[in-house]
Amino acid sequence: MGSENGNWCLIESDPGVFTELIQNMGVKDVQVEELYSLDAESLRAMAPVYGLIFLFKWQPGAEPHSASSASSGSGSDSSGVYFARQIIQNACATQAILAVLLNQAGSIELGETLGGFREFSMDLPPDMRGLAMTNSDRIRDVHNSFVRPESFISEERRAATKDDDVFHFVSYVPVAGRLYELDGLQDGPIDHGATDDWLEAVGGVIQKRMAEYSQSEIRFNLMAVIGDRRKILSDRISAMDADISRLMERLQALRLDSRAESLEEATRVETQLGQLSTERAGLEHMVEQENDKFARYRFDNALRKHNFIPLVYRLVRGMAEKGALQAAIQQAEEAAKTRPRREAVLD
Amino acid sequence: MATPLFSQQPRRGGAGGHGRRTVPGSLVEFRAGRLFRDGQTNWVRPDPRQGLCYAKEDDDLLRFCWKDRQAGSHVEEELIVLPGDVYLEKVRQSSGRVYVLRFRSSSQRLFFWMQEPDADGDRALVRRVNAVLGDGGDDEDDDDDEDDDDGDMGDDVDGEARGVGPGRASASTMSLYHDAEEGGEDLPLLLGRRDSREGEVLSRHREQSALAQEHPAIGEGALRSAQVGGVPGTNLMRRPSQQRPGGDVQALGPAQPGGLGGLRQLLSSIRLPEGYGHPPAADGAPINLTDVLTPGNLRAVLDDPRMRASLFPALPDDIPHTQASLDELVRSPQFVQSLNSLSYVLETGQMAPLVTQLGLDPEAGTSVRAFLRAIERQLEQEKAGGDDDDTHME
Repeated sequence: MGSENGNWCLIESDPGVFTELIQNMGVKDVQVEELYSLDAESLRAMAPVYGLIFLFKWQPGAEPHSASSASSGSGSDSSGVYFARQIIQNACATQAILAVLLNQAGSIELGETLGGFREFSMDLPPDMRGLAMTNSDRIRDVHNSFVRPESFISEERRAATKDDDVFHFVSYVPVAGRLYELDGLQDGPIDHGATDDWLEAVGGVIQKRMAEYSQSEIRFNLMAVIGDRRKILSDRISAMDADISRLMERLQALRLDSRAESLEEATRVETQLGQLSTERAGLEHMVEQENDKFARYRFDNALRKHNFIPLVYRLVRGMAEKGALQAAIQQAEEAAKTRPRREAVLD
Repeated sequence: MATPLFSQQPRRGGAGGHGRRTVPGSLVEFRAGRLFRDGQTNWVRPDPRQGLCYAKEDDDLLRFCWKDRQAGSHVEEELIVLPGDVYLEKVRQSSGRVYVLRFRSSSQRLFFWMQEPDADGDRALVRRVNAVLGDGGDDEDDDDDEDDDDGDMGDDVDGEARGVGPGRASASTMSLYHDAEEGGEDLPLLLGRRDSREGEVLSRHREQSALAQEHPAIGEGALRSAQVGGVPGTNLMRRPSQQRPGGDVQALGPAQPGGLGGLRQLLSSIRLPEGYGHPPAADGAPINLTDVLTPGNLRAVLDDPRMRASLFPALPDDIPHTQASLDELVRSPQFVQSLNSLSYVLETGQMAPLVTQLGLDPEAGTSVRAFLRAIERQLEQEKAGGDDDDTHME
């Protein structure tokens, strides 16, 4: 299963996996969040949002869908959109992430790997870009670092049938004041028109897309590629600290002054200070939550890559030593008998 | 872990949600339909039938049952449950009246949608059900209770407007997070909030289910297989050019070098056949390591400081080597998935060439039972020879 012949492992569509993947590609200050709401307000709360990645069930024959498709010629058309065709399936999550990142080169520090790749592939047509991505050792290695012990199992090489659950990623990204849908299975980027506020517009676009499927299929998953929350929060905290010390100084000056209006002003400043420190505590709390989340990601990602066999062996030994193994085996036998033969209850 | 000591919980007989019992001897009843998990996603699909859930005691065993109300006496689901091991709770990700029966000792879950006419009574009903099931509830899981409260508040706001009706639900999948079909009008409210632990758990469980998705086989001689650890997101159509008959089977050869790394490679390449993990109800059915190495069964081991210390070297380097990590690890979907895969390679004999690296006889690799017994025997032999041979692993 050498990656030398171009294998890409399946990776989980999980924000922790995607975030680490982006970091390992050398991109700075970007993370991925799963979205549970499509309204512009929720999206703005995550600003900067570089792009959205939409996962949905792909239905053979349902494509291509009916938005105005851009020319299928060059990927570097006048719109300035970086578009790559999808060449292989297992890479599609990574490709969807790259579709966002490579179109945000102005706002994101891409780093050497992706910056270099973008420059190198800029002049290629979309299918050659897809191929170049697929053949990039560095990108593939990062992707494949998430190989899970079981993940090769899923690499059943076969064409999808109509009964299969087939999923697909599509990216939504703003470029030069227009919202684009980047779907590697299409010939080119799909232009959703000019927009002052793409976060406002994208909800409707995705909703429409969902509506196309909701008759038969409503499994969707939405991720946002956003700025590093902790960095943004700590920047805000620093700015707030500057405000707080400015207000403190003013308060001291006012207190030295005994005029009635100064005392009134001092009360106002105190109130303001109180509000700021409450707000600051709120931000600190959010930093804590982010830290917890990243600790969680590290933990989960470590387990994803771990070989559990030595641990299983030691645990079984431990149970035997405690004299608990036979009872557990009996319990498992009971479970084998009583477990309903139905997939929904297995987890 | 609940023990039989707790089995004598006071039970409130006849505490049915609709005030009358239809099943003789039932301890609690309520009308509810089922939902089934859709493949290995965290979406559930409602079964439109009118159903009845009830708990009863038979042969001193507590049973939780579901049947189709139209189907007469035929009981479709009957689970023997340990008092205190199961509890019913609201699925907060759904704005409908969706509840999940969860097991403390395993990751098994059953989903139900309430069909009692009075949505306001759901909460009290769940409490009664849990009392019958011997769930300590209040003492044990404060977080859960808070979650319940939140969920109920959400309910009050949403009312039952998004309740999943059998007619409407039948044709659609319902998201644990949101019923997109019914919520069509008020999308962009795509999905519910996710600040609860449950949300996290679901999220972490996403696509990590050990087995579930069935695929029709391709090619002659291919097994019908269940996809393991698959990722819906990347389980995309494969173009015919990507197709390689035989697939990854080449990795399964017994000449697999590389020690335990080889084991990992081997685990990498197995496929679970359809139905694995759903053994037929017969004696001698294969057992699954997930039923042996449950968090409850591992409690005694993990609580022992000396044993914990011996486990730390087998943890990933980059997680804290603490009891908390171990507790979490044995509940993680990754661990459960590994157990499933390992069970499968054991039952299919593929481990035989490799168990010797654990100091076991090759027979240990012929089934889960053989594997477990061999480890136990190895320990006994070491104990017996312990005085003059101190080289055993500890």
